[in-house]
Amino acid sequence: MKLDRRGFLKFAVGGAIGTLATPIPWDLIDESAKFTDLWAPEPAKGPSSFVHSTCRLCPGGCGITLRLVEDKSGRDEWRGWHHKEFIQRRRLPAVPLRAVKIAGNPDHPVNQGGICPLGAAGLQLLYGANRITAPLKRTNPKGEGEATWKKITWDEALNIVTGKLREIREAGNPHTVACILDSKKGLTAELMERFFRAYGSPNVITMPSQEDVETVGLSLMQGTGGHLAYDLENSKFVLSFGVALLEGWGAPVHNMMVFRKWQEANEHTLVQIEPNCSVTASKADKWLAVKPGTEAALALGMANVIVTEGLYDRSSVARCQGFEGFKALLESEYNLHKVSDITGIPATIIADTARAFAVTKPAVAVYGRGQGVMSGNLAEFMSIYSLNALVGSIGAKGGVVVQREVPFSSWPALVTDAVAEQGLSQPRIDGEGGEIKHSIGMAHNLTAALKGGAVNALVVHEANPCYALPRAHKFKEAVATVPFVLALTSCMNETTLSADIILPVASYLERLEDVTSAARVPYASLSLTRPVLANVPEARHPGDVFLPLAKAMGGSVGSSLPWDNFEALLKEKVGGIFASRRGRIGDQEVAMLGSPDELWEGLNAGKCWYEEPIFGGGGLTFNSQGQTPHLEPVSWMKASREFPMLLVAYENINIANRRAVDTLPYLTKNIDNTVLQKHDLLVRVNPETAGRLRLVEGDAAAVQCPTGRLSVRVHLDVGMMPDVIGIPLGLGHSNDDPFLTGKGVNAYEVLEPELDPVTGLAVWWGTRAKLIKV
Amino acid sequence: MSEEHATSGGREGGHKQASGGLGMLAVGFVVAIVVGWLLYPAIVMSSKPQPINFNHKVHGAEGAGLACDSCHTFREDGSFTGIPRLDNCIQCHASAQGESPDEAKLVEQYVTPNKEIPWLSYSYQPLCVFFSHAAHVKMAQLECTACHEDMSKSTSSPPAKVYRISGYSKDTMSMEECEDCHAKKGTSNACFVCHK
Repeated sequence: MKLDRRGFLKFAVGGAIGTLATPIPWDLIDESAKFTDLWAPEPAKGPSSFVHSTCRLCPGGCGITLRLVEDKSGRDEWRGWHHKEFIQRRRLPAVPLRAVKIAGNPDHPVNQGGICPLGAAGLQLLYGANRITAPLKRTNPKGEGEATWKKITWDEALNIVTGKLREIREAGNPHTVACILDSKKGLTAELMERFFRAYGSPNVITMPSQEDVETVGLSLMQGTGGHLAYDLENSKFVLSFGVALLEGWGAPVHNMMVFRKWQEANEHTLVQIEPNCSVTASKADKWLAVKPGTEAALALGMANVIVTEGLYDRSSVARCQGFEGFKALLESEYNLHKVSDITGIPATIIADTARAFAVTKPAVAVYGRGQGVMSGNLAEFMSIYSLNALVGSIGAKGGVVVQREVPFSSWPALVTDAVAEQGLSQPRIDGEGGEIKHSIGMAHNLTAALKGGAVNALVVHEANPCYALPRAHKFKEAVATVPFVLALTSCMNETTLSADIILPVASYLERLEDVTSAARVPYASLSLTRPVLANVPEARHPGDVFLPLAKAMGGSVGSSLPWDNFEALLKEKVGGIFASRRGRIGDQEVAMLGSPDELWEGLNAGKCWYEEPIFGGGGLTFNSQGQTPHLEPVSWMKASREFPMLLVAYENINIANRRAVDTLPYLTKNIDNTVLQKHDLLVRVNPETAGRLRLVEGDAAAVQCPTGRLSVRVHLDVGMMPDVIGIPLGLGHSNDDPFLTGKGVNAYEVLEPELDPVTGLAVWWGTRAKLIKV
Repeated sequence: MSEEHATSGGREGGHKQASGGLGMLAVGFVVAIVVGWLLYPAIVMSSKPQPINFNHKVHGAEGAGLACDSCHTFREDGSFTGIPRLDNCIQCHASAQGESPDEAKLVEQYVTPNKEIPWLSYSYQPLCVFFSHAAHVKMAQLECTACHEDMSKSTSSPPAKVYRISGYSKDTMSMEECEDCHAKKGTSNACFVCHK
């Protein structure tokens, strides 16, 4: 048979037909599917173990359980496959233990097994691509192009820091060293404040929080300090003034549990007062859309109804002072019709709500705005808080209480020398404790202070002021003028990018830390975060940075901080709880424990110490110190021809918006597409407002504020009050994280703080604005 | 002339095509069948002997009288133990019981040094699949032999055929097979049923 061209083609066709009748094509398709599947990373598959710890991603302090998988290297041999090299190639780097899941700890009193999306995503922080793996030193001057870094050793880094701090102190200027913390809660923060006080600097400054205005209000009205908490679980009527109960306020998971119990019992009423139909408002029994910034007037209007109709709790009011003056003020200034005009809510609805609030017991009025980062003004807090006195909820079950302090053993007396005394006598650079007696939390004044050259060295610990202070970009410019900036964080953020030295600190899953009293939960509690594993071996506990630093500094600083390590300090502090015999750990009374070690071991096993509140009728002073809660809205809330609308910031539970934690990388995938679409941030606008501007859903627009302009898209939402623009906080990062950088815009940049006339605190939850079609 | 040539040439060529061409088609077909069924498996799969030639028949009803689930057991939590571990063997073979060279190998190489036997699994599922024996055997009441070969009569362990490309076994099930059976039994074929 002669094979010519035609013959060959026939042979090929015959071969092709024949091949279809063999396993070759089908098998190869199958094989390529199985083979390429091996390219994907494979999770560790070894024996599991579980460790209890505590979440620190928000002030909620939930108990968490980590599932750890032992990465067994022997498993491939056991399986006996010959393609070990494939498995090796696609496996994540071999580590002895890999954390694979965070779940809620059912035995923890705060969250009782629940967990929120942020807490569940915490592993992204531990294993994030943005972790800082070694101490870094900047190699180019600040403010000149992109920062470049050189890895240095811990010894080198600490020598530089000690040298710098010594130099400033020896020149007699210890007060020119400032430290920014997220909050002063927790032993690490207390340790750092103690370090700087012994050093001679009064300038330990916290990031702004709603609690600042509450602290001032509490001290004026009740003469106490501490953290306000609400017994929502037992309250039958909750009047929430814009509190994001279901979206991250206080202890979010605790709130969700309470909410579930309310649903089951069906005898609780939630009234949500805010201009935007938030998730909380949509789940409330009644939503009152109040004109933003007129909450104080609304509260006083309700107070007027309760007082004039005689619905107030007489025994509670008898415990208060200044009631007659308060009553006179309400009668003269806050009649229903006037309040209705101011707030935009019909008089009958105000009156009905006030009556229901007064006659349902127990009832509580909750002051707040969103998650509790944006502070309002003092008048607003005092007006709302006064409602609680009228219905007898101050200190009562189902009402509002001041959290009891965790009975840690007290710090020994601070050792100071002449330099420290001299430094501490200097005024604070942010003006706290200055002209306005009760002012605290004045971080918004820092920009001017830094630009004025008041600071020679700035230490930023687990905070991100270059992103999250009002007018953040201005602060960032100011930071570039500070001669020496030290940042301590676990991940790169806007602030670390502006530092001279970066020290990598362990994440909350890698270190021992106290988490005291979950925010807004009525009982006191303490549980520990635990060093479960060390993903970044170079990262250190901030306490174990500052204690050796104190030793190296010597003198008053060294004598004030004599502990060898943070664990020793924490253990000593916990001894105070044992000595107090107060509270319970797990199901055991502390008073029944044999030794402080038992308590220590219990805490280290992930148990929670907690103590029920002591309820009892409390009183307050209405209109304390003659400061009449005033109706005058702060100036920017008055619409002008140039800026006819209000830009109001709101928060989202998936977007991390506080602590040093930026939004976790993959959580950006969890953000609703009415908030973020690819790289564009959407603002919420009422269709009526949008229609007037000829804007339709998804249209590009610009938000023009007195302080700047943001490029956004619009999302039409009938739940948003007309002429109000809702903008989400927590996006628009420029922190080098590939998952976050360039996603949306940073609303903090245009939020110009307005100063509260009484406290001097920044009021910055919104600003005047204009929406422009582009 | 040229026309004639062309005609006759064409006629001749047509004749050749009719016979030789069809023949080539058949040859191609047969070659493909031979390559596909005989050569291809030898090329694409490696054949690996089991570390020990295990005789199921000797252990089973006709020999030691063990039931299948004496060694292939479910744990208390419902998970399946899969291929028996050395512990199972040691229960009877702490020392050699007979003359078999494979038993001697077992004792000498694995039992005495207390080393797991690196059995080669015939039907390990792809790693992206979550497969529960309990769901199939206990809940759906499937016989083992619905998926696995009946080993009760076998006297030796066949070598494991392993694909050189993916490293999976010849008997690793493909998704199609899973789906077919699920469809037949009325079980959901949603992605997350198997791909967790």
